[in-house]
Amino acid sequence: MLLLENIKKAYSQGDGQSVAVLDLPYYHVAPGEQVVLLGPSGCGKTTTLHIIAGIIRPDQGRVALDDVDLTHYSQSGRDRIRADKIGYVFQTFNLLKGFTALENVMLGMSFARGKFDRQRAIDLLEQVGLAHRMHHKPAKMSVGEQQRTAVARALANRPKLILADEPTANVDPKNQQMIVDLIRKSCQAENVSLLMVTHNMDVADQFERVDNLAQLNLVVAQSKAHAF
Amino acid sequence: MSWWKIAWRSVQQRGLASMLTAFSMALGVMLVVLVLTIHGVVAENFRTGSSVGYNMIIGAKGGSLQLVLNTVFYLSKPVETIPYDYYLAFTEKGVRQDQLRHSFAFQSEVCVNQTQQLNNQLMGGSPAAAGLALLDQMTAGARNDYALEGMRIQEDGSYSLYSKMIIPICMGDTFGKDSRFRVVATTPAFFNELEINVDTQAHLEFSAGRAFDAWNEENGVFEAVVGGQVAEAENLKIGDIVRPIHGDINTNGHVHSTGFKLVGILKYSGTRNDAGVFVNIEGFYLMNDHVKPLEDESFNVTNFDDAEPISDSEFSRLLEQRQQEINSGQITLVEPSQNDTTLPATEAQSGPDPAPGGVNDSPRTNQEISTILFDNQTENSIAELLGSNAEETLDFGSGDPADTQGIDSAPPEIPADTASSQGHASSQGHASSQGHASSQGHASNQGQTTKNETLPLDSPAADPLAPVNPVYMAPLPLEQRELTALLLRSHDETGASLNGLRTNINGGKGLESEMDWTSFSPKSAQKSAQAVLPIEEIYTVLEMFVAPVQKILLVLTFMICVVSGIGILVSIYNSMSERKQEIAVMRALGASQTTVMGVILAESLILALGGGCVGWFLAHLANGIVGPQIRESTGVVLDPFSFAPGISIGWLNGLELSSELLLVPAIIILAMVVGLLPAISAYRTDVSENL
Repeated sequence: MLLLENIKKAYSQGDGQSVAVLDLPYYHVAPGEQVVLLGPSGCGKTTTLHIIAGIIRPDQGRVALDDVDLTHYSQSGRDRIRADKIGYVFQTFNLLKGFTALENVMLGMSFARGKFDRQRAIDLLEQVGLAHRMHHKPAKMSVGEQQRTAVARALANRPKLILADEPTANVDPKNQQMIVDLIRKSCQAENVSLLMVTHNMDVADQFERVDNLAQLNLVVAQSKAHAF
Repeated sequence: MSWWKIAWRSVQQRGLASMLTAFSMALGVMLVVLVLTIHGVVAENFRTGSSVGYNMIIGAKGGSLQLVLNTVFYLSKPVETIPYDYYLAFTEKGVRQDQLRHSFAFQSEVCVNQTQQLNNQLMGGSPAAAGLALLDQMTAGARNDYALEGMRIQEDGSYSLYSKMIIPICMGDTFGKDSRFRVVATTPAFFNELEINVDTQAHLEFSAGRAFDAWNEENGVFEAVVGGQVAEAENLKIGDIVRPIHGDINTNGHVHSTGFKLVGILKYSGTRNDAGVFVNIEGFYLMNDHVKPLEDESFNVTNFDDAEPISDSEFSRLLEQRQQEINSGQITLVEPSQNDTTLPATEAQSGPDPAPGGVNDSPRTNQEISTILFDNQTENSIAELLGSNAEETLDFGSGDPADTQGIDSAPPEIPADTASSQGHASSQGHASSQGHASSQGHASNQGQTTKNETLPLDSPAADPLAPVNPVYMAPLPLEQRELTALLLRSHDETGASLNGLRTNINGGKGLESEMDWTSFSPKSAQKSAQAVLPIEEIYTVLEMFVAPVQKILLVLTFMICVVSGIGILVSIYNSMSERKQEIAVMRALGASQTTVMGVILAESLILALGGGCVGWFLAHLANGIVGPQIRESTGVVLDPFSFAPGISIGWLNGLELSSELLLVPAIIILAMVVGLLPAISAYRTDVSENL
């Protein structure tokens, strides 16, 4: 499903020098597989997710998503791939304030070609237990309800891969497990691969595969080695 | 969800800011639409007003624009006057004869001939022979008599062949509060022949009543019609009496004592006629101060050359004094003898008394002549003498009923609003005028009466206290008439023909009047007339003044729209800083850079077009609200459905669309331009930084 090879990424500091943030020789996720990507803050988790999503382009390396090599795609091409094949669950939910729950879910399918289906959006909200709140705006919803809406939105475009960037970080402990279960079950039901970034060990322990980006990212691994 | 839905949601999310931004655009568009519609209506008013069924105006030499503005739009003051004779130059023989017989020259010739024949034949004892002889005399006289020959009474006017319609008008008086409305003296042809829309051949329509008659049994020649705006402003209804103001009430003008019965109110036509007060020109001439002085010294009776016009109260006192003189026997009223061949004496007879059987060699006063010709007794005499042959020879046409009224009938009662003093007062004339014998004939009564004056009892002049019924007042002689302008519609309306006609008229060709055929009028200062094409002058005004003003107003109002557009730009751009995360989320969900840019442009369009629609609606609503007031004060008809003038779209088979529709692409372009900067900002949003 997902293959990263020799991914390198550095950011410019503004004084002409650049700082390497990611050096990932190899990484893959199989179809339908659910993987947790652990790592401390600053180890390149968000950068990795953005590269996978096509939001940013790696300085070097190859990204293949569902057998589509994104390496040479233009920005608009990567946007289309992202709209078709990726669902994103954000740490801060990132629901649009001016849109109702239903409209937020529909937004998730609006940019994919031929995938707009209002009924599916309603069904997804029912699936996450929010059918009765579909016409409410985020300001009138609880944190848990907002995150559940975000999960429904991520599934709206029938993606091949869900990227969840610390989905439980801003959720109260009572709802954290509920969110994790919801994401996992939804992905399982739709046969969607899941790559969840978290530094919550309780969440990580529930997954069969847990990868440590601090070890996989040579930039971080080498800097630790130097430190020692 | 479509771009429009996403954009609309964004607009709703920033409700107050969006509303204010759109409202500023609405105000700008409202002003643009108001300028377009009002200018369109005003320009159309100008065009309509300048093409009211005549293509040429003939007036006195002077400013051509002033002539047109005064004649067509009743603005400014009359340039000068032209001889009445100019009117006759455009009429056919029948009209000429009908008019010329009201001249002193014709009347005096008829009088002289009649007297001569009467004297000669009656002395011979053959009234019938006298009548035939008189007929021969007059027929021959028409050919041989210098005066009648000069009148060319058997000919059509020099320009009659070119004239499809000719209407005389006289201006100078005003009406209403602060003299805000102009009085236009004219003939019934102004309503019956004049087409306010040449294409549809529409005439002026009446919302109440009718056009005034040439002569009316009830009101004589004292009938009036007013425009809708006048009726509304002055609260007039049919039957009211309209009293014109001589001059301007704000600058020493005075209200005429003569009134005109209002018989018609015009329907609003969107022309300046809505603000016009139209009176019968014959009645106009019979009013105070409207009589042109005569030059003929013989008409100047020394005792009233310097006579001052007297007030109504003074005149009443004179009448009372006169009655006392009659009562006391100072003046004896006697019936004329059957064999009395002398002419009926008048109250102001100058020169020696006529010898029995002799012609009165003394020059005749106006009153004498009127009395002679239109006095009951004399009219009977003429009718008997002339018989039916007269009309065949002289072709009097329809004739003036006033000439024959009063035969075998007592003078009718005077309408309450036309007091007898007006009939007398109208004759008082100017202090400086000469030869106003009809007035001064009465005025001169003071101290001039002698004992044993003989007056026929049934002559209106016999009893000085007998009210002069205005209905039966004789028309003012031609020599004492002047005109402000003539409205001409020619048969051939091509440019070449009109220009040729104009050249001839301007050169005085065919207008060699100066009233040479009469000795009763001063030489006219006019050597030739001025012929102008109103369309040319109007378009000059439009191009010189109105069009630039419109352009300036349009530029100003469009700048207001641009400022409103900048408001949209500022509003959206300021919101971008708050919406970067929102845009980044949409990008993360798969929206392309083009998509987010399109959403921002769509927002700009929604604000601009939404504001534009509201502004367009507000403009037409404003037209409807202020329309009645504008109509009342200016005569311009403005309503909610007044649209800006159309523009012909060549590539749409000449389809004409209102210029207001041009606002649609203009607003779209403006929205795109002002939305571009925020859209570019959205395009360049760094997704990873803002998630």
